[in-house]
Amino acid sequence: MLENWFILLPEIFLLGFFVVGGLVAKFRKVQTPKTFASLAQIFLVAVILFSIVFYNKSAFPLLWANTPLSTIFKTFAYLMAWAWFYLSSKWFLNKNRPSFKFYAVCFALLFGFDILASATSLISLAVIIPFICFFYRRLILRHWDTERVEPIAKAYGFFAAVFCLLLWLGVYIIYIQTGSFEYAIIRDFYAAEKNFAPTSLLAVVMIIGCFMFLLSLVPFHLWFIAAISEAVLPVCGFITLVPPLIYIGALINLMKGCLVAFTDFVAPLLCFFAVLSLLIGAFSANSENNIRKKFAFLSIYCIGFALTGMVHFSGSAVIASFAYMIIAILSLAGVYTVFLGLKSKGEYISDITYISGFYRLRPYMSAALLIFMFSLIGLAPTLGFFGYLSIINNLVADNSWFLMGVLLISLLFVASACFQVIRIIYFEPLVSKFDRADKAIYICLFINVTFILASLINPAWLISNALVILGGIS
Amino acid sequence: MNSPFAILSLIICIPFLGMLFTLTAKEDIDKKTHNSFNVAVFSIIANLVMIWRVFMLIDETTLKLQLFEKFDWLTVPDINLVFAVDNLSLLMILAVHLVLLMGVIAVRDDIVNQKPLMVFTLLFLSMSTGLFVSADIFSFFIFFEAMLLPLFMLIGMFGGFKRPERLGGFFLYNLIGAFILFTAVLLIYKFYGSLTLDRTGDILWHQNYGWWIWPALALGFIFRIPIWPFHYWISSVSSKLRNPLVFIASSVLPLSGIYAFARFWPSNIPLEVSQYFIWLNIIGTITMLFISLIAFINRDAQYKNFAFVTVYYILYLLGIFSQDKLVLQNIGYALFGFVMVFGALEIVSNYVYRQEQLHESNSSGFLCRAKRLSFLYSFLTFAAAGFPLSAMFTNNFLILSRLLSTHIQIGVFLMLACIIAAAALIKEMFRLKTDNKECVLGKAEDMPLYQFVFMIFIVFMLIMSFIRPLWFVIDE
Repeated sequence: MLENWFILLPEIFLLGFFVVGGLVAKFRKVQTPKTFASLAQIFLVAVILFSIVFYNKSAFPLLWANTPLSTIFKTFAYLMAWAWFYLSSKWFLNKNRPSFKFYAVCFALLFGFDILASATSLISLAVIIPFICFFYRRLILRHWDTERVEPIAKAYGFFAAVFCLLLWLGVYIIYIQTGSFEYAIIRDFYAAEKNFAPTSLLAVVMIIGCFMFLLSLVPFHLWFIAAISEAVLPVCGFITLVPPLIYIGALINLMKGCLVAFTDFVAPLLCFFAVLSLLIGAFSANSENNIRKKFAFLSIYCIGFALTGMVHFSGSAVIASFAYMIIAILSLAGVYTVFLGLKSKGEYISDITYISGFYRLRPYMSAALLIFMFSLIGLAPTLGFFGYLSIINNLVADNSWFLMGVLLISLLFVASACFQVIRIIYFEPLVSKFDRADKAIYICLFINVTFILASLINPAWLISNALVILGGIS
Repeated sequence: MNSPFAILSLIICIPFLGMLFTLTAKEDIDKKTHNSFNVAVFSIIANLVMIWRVFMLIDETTLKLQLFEKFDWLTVPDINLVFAVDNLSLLMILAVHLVLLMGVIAVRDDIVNQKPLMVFTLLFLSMSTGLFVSADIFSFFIFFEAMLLPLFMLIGMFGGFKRPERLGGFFLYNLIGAFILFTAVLLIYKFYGSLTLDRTGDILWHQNYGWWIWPALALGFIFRIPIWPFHYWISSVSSKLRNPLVFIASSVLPLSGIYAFARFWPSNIPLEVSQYFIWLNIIGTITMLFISLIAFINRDAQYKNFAFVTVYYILYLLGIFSQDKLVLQNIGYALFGFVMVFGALEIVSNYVYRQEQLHESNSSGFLCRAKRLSFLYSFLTFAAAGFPLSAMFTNNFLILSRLLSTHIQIGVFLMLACIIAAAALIKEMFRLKTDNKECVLGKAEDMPLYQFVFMIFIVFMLIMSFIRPLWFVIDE
């Protein structure tokens, strides 16, 4: 009994933030955004440590079970959240806005992600995904001008409700057929089947469709783009950097642990939407003048790229996609850190024309952005090249020439989109004056760039252990 | 033979470290501190000393790669980075270092934005050195692509383009070439593993997608060479560059393509393929003729320099395709002399152009009054025109005689193109030497002494390379 409480420590700390944060919000006289950021970071460190300690222990193995695979995805997501909480506090300080509710909603989401990544039962999915969607909507609404984000939150809420209903229906159909919600039982049941009933396939489509919505794959991406363009910067950063890793981890877990028999059916479906996402993401990024929207499309492109690489869910494909996702998220984290420094007269800049000649005033920040963008393009010798190499080499090994061609063509469009930003920052004359950036932004950029450069010299150092763990799933 | 210590990695790292130091250097524009310039010059000279040492460590009589260094880079996929050198690669490294040093010294007084200029130049130098020491397909590809990044920034920031959006095309064009090469490299890796460059002959034409791999390799390399129909993007950028350092860096880009052909192209090409070489010769010759004719008509000295560079690059490419062992053995010396000549010529002609712009004067007759400049200009123009003044002479003679013996008609046209390109340069020299009263440029505008001394050293190097190409190597 006591052992189970210990195993639940990560979840306890995630929920514990509400209690402690709530008490601080109510009783502490001096409150700054830094107070809650520090509190959030302390709790998150505890969560990370306990997640690693109990990486293979489970209190309720029938509902969710920690595995090396789930722990690795969760740990990276928590680390991203930790860094972003620290940076977000600078935004709240600058805007002089209260931050408790933002951190509280993020912790609720992290709690949901914790369960989702480790789910071993469809009932866990059916419960936790609506929970996540509910708090996601709350997160989008975290804006001082509610009118701007309300339509987006409404649209998101509507589509989330539709996809949650589909998820429930899919889960129900599978339950009717197999008599269980447990991944292992469902996997064994369908493994014995030679031909799948249309209802089974429909159920799988409904469940996978829900994941596509969560991952904001095209054509379910419009809410994501709208949210990124209108929501406040801390929210934009969080929804770009943290959830994708968890969703991909949960999808791998679902496909390998439960729906493995449907892999051949799911692969073309997923492939189609992944290719669509990477193409639309790459094309649309070119036509955007809003820098946030541009990178929102690029993050959709990155998710499409990662999914294209792992549609068959083989061990090597999952490893390649994981490596790619980590690198892409690192680069996007760098880009969002720079966004926090793109400030003129107290306002955060989102129109690309206002950053013309930015490098003349902020050479180091521009240099960092340059590295992150070249990494997104996958140009050697940046770390991004390693991510692309992993995925494309895997496709060549599988003789997937068409997919390889599509990836390379889309990469050209991404390069073109990034070129626009580089051109405006470096080759155009200066048009605006920029506010002084916080030291924390430079520190984070320095750490990120150092991490990218050090990993470039020895990429195995970055994810060798992760690869060993992921190698075990093949 | 393995490297005694990681000396080849060191010669990649020194410019890179120089770049990091330059990043931290403090620039004071008012006091003209030249901090970043000093760091850049020091880094290049330090590396030149190391390169000199490497020359003494290798056996220059053999064509085999030597001083192998191997690093485990990735486990999934299993990729090692392998470095090694031979005479050809070392000569290319030396030439690129010297020519970029010339460029750096030429822009010493360009105070505004000197720091990023030096940063990207050192990064470019580090990446191009990496390309020339690469001894396996993956490290070769990584550095082949990595050269683009600093070059693109150099051209965009310092090329003086009024409409920088056009550079996007140049960037994407080069990226397409890199992706085609990437595909070929992955195919090679799939069937042959991480091949070292001395084993490219193992890639079979008739098996394992050989018919895809070889054309993809050739296409990837040829994207870097301004041969028709690939000439547009390079010529549209290079011929308009007004910064000598950037022009030199952009002219090193085709060198990477030529070097790649010299390194990869196997000797055992089947007849079905080699029969198509005649078409390549014809296309190359037509390109050379057209570009040299345009240069002859064009009044812009920069275009004449660009045409000279292009014509000779194509000549060397055709020399490599001739599959003549003697030509292949000596191509390094020819390229060494050629790179030095075009770099030095760009420095002096750009110096004239800058004085012309500064004093808003016609430069006709300028050389009558500027003795230092006159000597350098004349020497370099004659060296470029093919007079026996540098290593270019002997080796160009070899290549042309080989091409003449294979196809007399093509050989004649090739010679004609070279003569027209040379005539264009000589015509420009005579314009500068014919006195003109409208020219207000005089003795006071002559080349500064420090730059002249360095250029004399380059002239000395060129003459010595004609007498004995590896005169500076002391056998141990």
